[in-house]
Amino acid sequence: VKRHGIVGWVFVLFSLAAFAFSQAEQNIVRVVLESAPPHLDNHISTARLTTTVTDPINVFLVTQNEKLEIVPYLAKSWEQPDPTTLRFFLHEGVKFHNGRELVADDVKKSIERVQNPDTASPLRSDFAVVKTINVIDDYTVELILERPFAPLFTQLARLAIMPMEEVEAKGSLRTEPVGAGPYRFVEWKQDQEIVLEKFEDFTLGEVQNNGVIFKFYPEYAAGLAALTSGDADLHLWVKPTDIPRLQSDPTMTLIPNALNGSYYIAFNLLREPWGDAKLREAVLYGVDRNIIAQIAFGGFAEPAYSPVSTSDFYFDESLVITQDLERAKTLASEVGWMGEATLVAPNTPVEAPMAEIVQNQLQALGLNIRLEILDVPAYIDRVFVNKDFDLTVVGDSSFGDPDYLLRQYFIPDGESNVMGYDNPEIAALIEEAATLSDPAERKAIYDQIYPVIQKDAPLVYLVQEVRHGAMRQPLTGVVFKPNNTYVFDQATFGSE
Amino acid sequence: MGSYIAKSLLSTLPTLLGISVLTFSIVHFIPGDPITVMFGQSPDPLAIERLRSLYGFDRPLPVQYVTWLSNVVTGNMGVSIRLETPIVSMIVERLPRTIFLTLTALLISVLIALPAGLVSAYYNNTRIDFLISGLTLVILAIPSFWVGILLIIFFSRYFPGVPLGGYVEPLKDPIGFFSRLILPSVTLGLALTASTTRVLRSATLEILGQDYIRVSRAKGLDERRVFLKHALRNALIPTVTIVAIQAGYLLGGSIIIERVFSYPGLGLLLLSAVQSRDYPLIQALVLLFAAFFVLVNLVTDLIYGAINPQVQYT
Repeated sequence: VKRHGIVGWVFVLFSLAAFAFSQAEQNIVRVVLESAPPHLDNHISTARLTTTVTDPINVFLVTQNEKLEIVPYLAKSWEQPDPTTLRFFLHEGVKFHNGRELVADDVKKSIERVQNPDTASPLRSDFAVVKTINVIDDYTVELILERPFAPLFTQLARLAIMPMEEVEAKGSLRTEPVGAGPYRFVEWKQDQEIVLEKFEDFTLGEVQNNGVIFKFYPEYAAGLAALTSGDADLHLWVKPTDIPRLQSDPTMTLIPNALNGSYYIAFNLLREPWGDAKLREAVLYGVDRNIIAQIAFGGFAEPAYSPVSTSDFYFDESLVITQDLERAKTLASEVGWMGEATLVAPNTPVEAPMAEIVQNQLQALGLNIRLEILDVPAYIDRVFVNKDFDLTVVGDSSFGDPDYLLRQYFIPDGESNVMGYDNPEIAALIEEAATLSDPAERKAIYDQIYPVIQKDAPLVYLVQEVRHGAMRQPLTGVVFKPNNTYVFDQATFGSE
Repeated sequence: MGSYIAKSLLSTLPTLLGISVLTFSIVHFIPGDPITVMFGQSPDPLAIERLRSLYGFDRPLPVQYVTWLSNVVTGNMGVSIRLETPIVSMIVERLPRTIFLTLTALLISVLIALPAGLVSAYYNNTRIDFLISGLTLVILAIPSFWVGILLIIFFSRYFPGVPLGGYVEPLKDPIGFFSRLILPSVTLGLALTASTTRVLRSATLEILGQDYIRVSRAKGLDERRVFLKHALRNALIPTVTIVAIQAGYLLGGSIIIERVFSYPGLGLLLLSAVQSRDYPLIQALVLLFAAFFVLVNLVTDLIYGAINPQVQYT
């Protein structure tokens, strides 16, 4: 009896602790993340984990809605007096978390910071087109562009406006970010959690909760357990294998999010035999996209045919192709290549199994493929820095403008053009489309580009993922955007 | 004994130096570096070049090594590349956590293994002995990270109030701290429990067959006294050696267990350092782990002498 008593007390203590914990954090959204962000300086990292945490801390000139359309944010409006001049009118009275008012000069300095090569910002090349920044008055800023460049708006929705006095004082904002967004950074307990608190002086909208805590669970099972046991309220990325179970759990709400990106096979065109378009075409028709979606994503993915997702405005139905194994085998046998190629992939839970399926499907075409799975830094080094590969399987996504992935992959000096793809006509069309601001006019050009790159096939697109998040009831109102970003400020617990 | 300790400590210096060379070389020769990791799938050659020279990665490796070593000797471990935070402060923050986790695991394992090993030896070749031996064999065969994941799944399903890892400050919330420590330390200590039980059992059995035990029994000493006073003390000598050596391995085991239970100690720090190829941080941590291991071995020697008077330190 005595022993039972002790066990009982232990559990009472446990439950009390758990109860106190959840009470204290009421109206604070606790989010499961699979790992800590590299750091929190939004100008130096655009990694998903960084932006997930820093987007709520920062404001941006413009932002994207759930359909990824550009909408006003810090800028209440803008005008374009000529194709290379953009004039933004800022909201007045917007404050940084350090209390100072945000003015036009902060926009100028933020853009200049990412343009500076010493900052080593991944956004640097995206802002190379901005030639001059004129501060007209405290609430008006003007960007003079080298040439008309429509995709700049999407990049402006990525560029946090930061107080430079904080950057200068701290060197960078890697560990203690300061912005003007709906949430103020409170603390980063390394390898534990990052705590954000509602910024009371935020004037660009109403924040519905008191804060967000990002909790890190490097072990997936532990993160999921935290959600189901009530230690967390929101999981941003549950595995396909867990989706059915969570769907049948009445305390959970699943949030499907068709991502604006896709997984692909890339070929090194400078290596034999992948320079031969016929062989790449064999792969284009030889892979079974539905099987990949089924096995690697439990069916929570759709076939992909181009860098733009099938639900996007810029996608054209004519790009849909179906597997044609006979055609693929014929093409492969015409090339008659008998050697062995190495397929490299990163050791992530998605790409590694997908690479195995692709290996199998290519072998069915009579191609001899060896698989090599590397950890992510080694993979990046091998494929994207040294371009030492035959084929690779990996995924990439854009923030919403079709120009981004086309420019990265399909112009000769694109940063992600590891394939060695060089088609001057395509490069010229990409540049031309970027100068047009009318979406219909742009689409007319993209309708010329996509079929050509599909047929040239330096990349063969495989699947686009429908990623699932899970919320523990009564939490509602978290916004998942197709570009893998989230909005937390409208999240509430229960009836409001 | 003082001079023995001093001599032992001195003799560890070449070992540590060797480890530092090895770590430095391995870290720099594995593909991927901290700069390219930052840029991911869209590397910017100009920025990469600038950063490489900023961090001095464009200098010859021996030069980089000597610079690093001379800093370490003066207590300057450098700055983490990813977080731009001094490494010493990161270590100071986490070291007590890992030590605490390891010691708790050690304590749990000894508390279980002592009675289990003795009972198993005392009831040699009976059902209870078979049960204990069988269990230890099974535990030894299961990787501990898997045990950890099973425990997490089990507790999240059947005891949803139980914290499944993580960390809170012990001074702020002692109950929360200890309740979070239980699962990881049990998991970490489990494998050690099994091996200690087995060693203690066989050592006890061997001693129970010795002449002096037979003499004690012949003298008419009661069985309990024979067992606890004469057998146990001698059986402890090999057991302590095993426990102490394993304690070094516990530190290594803490790396994976800290990850499973999101426990923010040195192990988790090392893993994230490797994933971002944070060179100075990896080097500092591996060196620290090695120094620990060496220290644990020294302590083992000393404890060994305390238990076994035949051992003399010269």
